Amino acid sequence: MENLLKIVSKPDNVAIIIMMVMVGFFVFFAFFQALKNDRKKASAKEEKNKLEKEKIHTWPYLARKEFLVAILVVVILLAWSIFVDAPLEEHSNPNLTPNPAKAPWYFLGLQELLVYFDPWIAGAIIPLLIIAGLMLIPYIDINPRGNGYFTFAERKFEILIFCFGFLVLWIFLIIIGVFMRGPGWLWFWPWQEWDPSRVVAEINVDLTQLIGVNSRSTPGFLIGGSVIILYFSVGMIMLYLYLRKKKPNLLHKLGLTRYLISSFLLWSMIGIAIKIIMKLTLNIKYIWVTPWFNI
Amino acid sequence: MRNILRKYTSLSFTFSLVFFLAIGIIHCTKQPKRAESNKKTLSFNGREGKRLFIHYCAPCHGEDAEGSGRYFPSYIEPQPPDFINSEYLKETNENVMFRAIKFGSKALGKSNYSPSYDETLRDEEIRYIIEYLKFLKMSKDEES
Amino acid sequence: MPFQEKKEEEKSFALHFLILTFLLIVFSIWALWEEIGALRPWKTYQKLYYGLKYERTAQELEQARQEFKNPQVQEEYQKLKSLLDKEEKELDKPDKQKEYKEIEEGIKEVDKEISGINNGLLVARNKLLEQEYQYKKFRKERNKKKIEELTERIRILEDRKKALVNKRDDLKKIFESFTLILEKYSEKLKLFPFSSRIEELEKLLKSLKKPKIEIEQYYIEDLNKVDRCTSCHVGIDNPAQSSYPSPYTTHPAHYLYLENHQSRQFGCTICHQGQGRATSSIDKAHGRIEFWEEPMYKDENTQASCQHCHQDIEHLKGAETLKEGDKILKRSVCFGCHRIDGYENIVKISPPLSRVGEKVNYTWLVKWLMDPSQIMDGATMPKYDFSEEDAQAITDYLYSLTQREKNDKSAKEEIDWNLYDRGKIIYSQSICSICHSANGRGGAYKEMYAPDLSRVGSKVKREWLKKWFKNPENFFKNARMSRYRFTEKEIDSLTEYLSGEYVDWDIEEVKMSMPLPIEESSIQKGASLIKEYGCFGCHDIEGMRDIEEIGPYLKIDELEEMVAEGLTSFGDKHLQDLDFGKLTKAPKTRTDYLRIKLENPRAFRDDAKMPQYNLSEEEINALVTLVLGFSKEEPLVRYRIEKEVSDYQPTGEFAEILEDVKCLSCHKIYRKGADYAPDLSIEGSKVKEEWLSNYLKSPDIIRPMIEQMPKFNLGRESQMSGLKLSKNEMDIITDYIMTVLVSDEIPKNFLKEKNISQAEIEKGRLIYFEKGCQACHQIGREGGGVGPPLTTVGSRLTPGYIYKHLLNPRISNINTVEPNLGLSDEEALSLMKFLSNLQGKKKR
Repeated sequence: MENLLKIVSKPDNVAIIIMMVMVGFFVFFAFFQALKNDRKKASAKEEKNKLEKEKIHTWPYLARKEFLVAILVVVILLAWSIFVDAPLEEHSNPNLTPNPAKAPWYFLGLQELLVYFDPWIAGAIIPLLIIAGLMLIPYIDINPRGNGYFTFAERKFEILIFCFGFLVLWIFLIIIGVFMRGPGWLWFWPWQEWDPSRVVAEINVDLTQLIGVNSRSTPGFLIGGSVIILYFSVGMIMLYLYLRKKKPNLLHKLGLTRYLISSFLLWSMIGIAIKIIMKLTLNIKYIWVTPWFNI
Repeated sequence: MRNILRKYTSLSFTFSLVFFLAIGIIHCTKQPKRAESNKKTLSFNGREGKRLFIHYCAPCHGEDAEGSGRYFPSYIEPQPPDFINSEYLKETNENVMFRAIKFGSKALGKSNYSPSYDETLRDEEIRYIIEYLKFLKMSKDEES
Repeated sequence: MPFQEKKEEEKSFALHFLILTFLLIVFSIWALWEEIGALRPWKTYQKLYYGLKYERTAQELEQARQEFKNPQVQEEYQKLKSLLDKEEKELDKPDKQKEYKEIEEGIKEVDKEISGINNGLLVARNKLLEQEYQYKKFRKERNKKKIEELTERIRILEDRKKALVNKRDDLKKIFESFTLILEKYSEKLKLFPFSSRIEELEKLLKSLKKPKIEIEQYYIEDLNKVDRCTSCHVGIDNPAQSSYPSPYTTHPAHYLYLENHQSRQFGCTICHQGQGRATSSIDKAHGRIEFWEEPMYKDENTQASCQHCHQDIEHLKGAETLKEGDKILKRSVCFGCHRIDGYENIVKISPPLSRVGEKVNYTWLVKWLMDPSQIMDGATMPKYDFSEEDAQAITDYLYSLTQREKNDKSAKEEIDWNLYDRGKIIYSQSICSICHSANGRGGAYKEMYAPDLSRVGSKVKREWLKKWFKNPENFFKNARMSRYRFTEKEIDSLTEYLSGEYVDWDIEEVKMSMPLPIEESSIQKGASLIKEYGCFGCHDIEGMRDIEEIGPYLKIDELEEMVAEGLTSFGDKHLQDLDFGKLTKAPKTRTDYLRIKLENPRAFRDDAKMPQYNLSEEEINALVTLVLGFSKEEPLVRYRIEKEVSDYQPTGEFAEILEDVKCLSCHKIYRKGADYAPDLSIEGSKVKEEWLSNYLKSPDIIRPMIEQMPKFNLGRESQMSGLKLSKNEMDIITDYIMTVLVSDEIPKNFLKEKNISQAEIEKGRLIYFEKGCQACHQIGREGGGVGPPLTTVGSRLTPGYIYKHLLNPRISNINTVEPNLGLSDEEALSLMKFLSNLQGKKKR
């Protein structure tokens, strides 16, 4: 417990606690409101007009609330700055590397990904995909509903994908990075004491090595490559077939380009999760080893 | 209850947030305790005074300033006064003590046995000796 | 819904807005106040300071005004003023005024003329330049002529100017003479001490009304230090502030520390450490925060910094704690195990153990190893906490080096009481008790580290003791005990006395009655224990020196990790390199580390090898002060103060005697030696020859018993074995002292007249009693004992020396207790005559 308290009381980490509380609260609140709205809508399907009367103008009614919250945030920040000093740490000593050497909390999610992925992928490709994906959302999101009101039923897919990407693949990884990673980037439960001399024997294999093929040889290269390509192609094709059968309108509205982009991004996200699970359970290091990148 | 909560939900939310945040922040700011100055120990100047006293004065006045210096002849009158067990120090003005040390007991109209230290000690050193004597007296008073 | 919620549009958020805005204003102002005020406490301190100074200056001003009101002072002042007034009136008289004005006019006229001439000169010179140019270019005759004309004209003008200037000067002189006296008086008035002081104070007061509140800092460029200490400690380097309250009180012993180390050149943190640049809180500025590695030193620990520049700390005034720490380090032989640069060549006081089997009884040694301070008072050897088996093993090993079996010699043998009595007399004549303490008395000369003799009879074997008295150096090469010239009988008597008098009855009870063989396994165990605990670091042991892996720095296994780096740069150690081991809660600074380690060496790890030294709190503090200042960093060249090493090397037969008798263990000659006995560097000019040779043969009492010179029996031909001398050693010593150890400053043959008149002696005697000399000196049976008795001082000291000494007692001993009475030359002469007459009874 002492270790946990030490981590929690560090001035840098106060932000993380607040983040956890806020994220939790807002997700809960959003879902609560969304479900409430959905229930209302379901019961008021007959009285369409009533729903219309439920709408109010953003300006001034929402804007004033946002303004008040803005003042509150400024007050909190001022109070924080008055009471808590920026911490003075030790003299930097080039001969002594801190163990563990952790990135700032907002990057800890990516640092955690480094456990599972090659640095090029985890540090460059994935952030690129994240940013590109976020930028592309307005273009591939063709669902016009949910503007200005909470809803879940009308945007199930989009919300779930976003929550998966944000809460699981980002916030959750940050929490792991802050609390569960100790010296040597080994797994420490929050109540365990950080022991810098702890040794854990871990033998990581590449995927092809499981079947006895050297991953750096040509057959290994081919096998790995085909796994990846197959994964994406089969995934995208299967999804396409599924959609064509069940939601042909959606597919028609999406169009080929949008479909390709969104399905690629979707399968990448799921792929990350799969890879994480493979690493944790089967100790798989790389699926595909190439001279230029490793996935 | 639920209805009241619903009515004032946003206000109560604001207050509780501010309240808890304030508590959290105040808890984070712990002022370090300052060491209390101990009036009972000797200051640096007093320690210098002690060193000087033991070197120059103790042979006649005794190490504890009680007047029983082992090198002062016992048959000579007047004997060095007991500074500690009498009220001598309390009744005497600091300036008088200063002159006594600096110019000798003769300058106070007393015997000439305590020589003048004008050429040997600086003014500050004499003041340190006086501070040490006062400290000795104070310690003795507190013991009793 | 049972309850009609208000429509969103109708909800009023005015209250929220009000509260939030109010909070916003409060916190904004608060943040602003923090930034301006709370985070800048030095502003408060400075304001307080200036307020205080203002008050005190106002008080002084009042006082000065009062003094000025003093009728005598006023009288003088008015006198001056009236003189001034008179002069002014004189000047105001109409005819004087007219004259004054006339001359003024005259000067003006002359000035006008002069300026006219100057103008003309300027024009002429310009024209001349023009003509010269033309001539140079065209070489025309007319130019040449023009040049000549112009030169002539310039000459005329200059002559005229000169005349006018002279006239002007004369006029000016007369003009000034009018006001000369006036000025003199007004100058006097201005400088009148009381009124000028009032003016000074008034000016000061005015400037203090609106003082400048700003950060003050000392920037020491070549050390890259910025010290802002004086922003709060305003004026701490001003000696006049000793009565101000803290933090403005003058720096302690300002005359000692700050006068030699000006703040402008040194700053503050060079000595005190701390975070010089910090100004936002007291703790931050003093560096007493979590990660600042150099928190401000506490009290005497500040002296640790002296070592950074001063290489010689033994004669450094103001570094007493440091000196104390140095003494303790040398006495505890810390450098026996820990490598410390600068202490490699210090002689270790620990005796060699190769022949310890010859010297001590077996049982005694075992008991000693278990707990030294229980066995002998004032033992400097630390406690290793050996179990009895371990102590026996080590003793077995040491015994095995010279003995075939372990044996005890009982002190309960028959004592020859005649020899015992004689031994007692010799013991007191030889004044062993100066260096050796026994039964709680004696041992005043602590720095000799002579062992306590309270129980020596049970400790050593008689045969060894006799050999020791014969010549200590045979057993212990660096022994500091002198070789007394004892006869065989004297040695026997002394041994008998010591063996009979100083016995430890507890040990006598458990001594072995029969010698026993030493077991091989025990020897092996002892050897490995010695290697493990590093006894050879301090003690010289046969078979454990000069071996590669057992060097003087303990390079064995885990000991190497701990001590290999040594203490040379302890003061540079980073906090993370200090291993507090078990003590996770201890405050983590270097000072605390050292203090805890010295109090209890096994505090950090149970398996630490360092033994427990019996040090009092003050001694620990002194050691801590010393070690904190050990650093590998070299001071800048311009700050460094080198050690003055004595290069005195005596040669010849005197040197042999010096070595044999070990005079320099107590005396000092030319800065080499010890400080206990008087400095002999000018002894030849100081004392009379006949007295010296008598004294060396049989020293009589000059100083109190604890400083009395022992009877070494110098001059006994039969006992000077080993020394091949050309004549009696007494003569050699006397000759050397009289010829070499002299000083030009002391006049020879000072008292020319053999017979001093009775009147002069009487005069001297009066001065003697008037100044109170009898309080510290004895003549006959009367007087005090602080200084040496003066009964026979006339036959002891030369008149020249007496005279010089009376004028300045510090002439041969800087640390003398005798005050300088500020005697005039005449008084000193008379006193000298009186004292030279005190010859005492002539000796046989």
